[in-house]
Amino acid sequence: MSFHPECLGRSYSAPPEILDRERHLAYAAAVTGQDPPPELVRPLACFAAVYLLWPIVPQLFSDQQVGLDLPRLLHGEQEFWFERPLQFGEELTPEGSVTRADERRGMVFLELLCHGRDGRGEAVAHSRSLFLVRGPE
Amino acid sequence: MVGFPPALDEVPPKLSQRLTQERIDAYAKASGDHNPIHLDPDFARAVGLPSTIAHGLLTLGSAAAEIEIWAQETAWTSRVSCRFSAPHPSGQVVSGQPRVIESESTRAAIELEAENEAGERVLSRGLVELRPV
Repeated sequence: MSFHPECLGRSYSAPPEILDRERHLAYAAAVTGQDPPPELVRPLACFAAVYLLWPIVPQLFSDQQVGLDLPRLLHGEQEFWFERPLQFGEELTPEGSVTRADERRGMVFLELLCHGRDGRGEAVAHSRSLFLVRGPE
Repeated sequence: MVGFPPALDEVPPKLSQRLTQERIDAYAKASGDHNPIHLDPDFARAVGLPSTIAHGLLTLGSAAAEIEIWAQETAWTSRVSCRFSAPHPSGQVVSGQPRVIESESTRAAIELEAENEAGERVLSRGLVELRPV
């Protein structure tokens, strides 16, 4: 599959996701190595991978108009940030777009920016991912 | 953490966690990231890796969770970021000592770096930003 730099600006959306306490328990057990995990007052920040990033990423990875070579793909950088503390039971609607798409010295650089909107339509959770695709050996 | 903000000389809990294949499998199930480089040793070797590797977001999530649990009574996490500098092979311990690098009345920043058993930096430029609850 060949990469298409003109994919810059491609956007994706997904149905609303609930910050489910039970789902968070399984997530927290994996990241803490404790089962059950410690009592948590609010969702862990990187739980955003579950409700914000992964509803969008499979769409990006399978998008023929982007053309990522998945076996050579690396996750280079990740950032999550939030406008306020989130609570269990909240519903967020994820959306994402390609904000960088270029190729330098045989390496593909693709940035995906995602936002999660709350029930009032406010973007309260954000994610920036930089994916790299290694060129042929 | 005693109160907000943490003092610059306050020491967050040291990170030392073995990311077993069982934990990687559990993370894949919990997160929905079923990329075979994390789950299938034959596939991982076929793409030039020595073994399956932990998800970057499992490594980051594990490191950040230690800080968040330490801080949760007095702070919420407004930002987590890092660069994934090297793969973390399954079964290895990820370790690091977070440091408080900024301490203000409304914001604190914890630097977060971690390495694998080979001494390779797996998380660099890591940051957890805390704000008072």
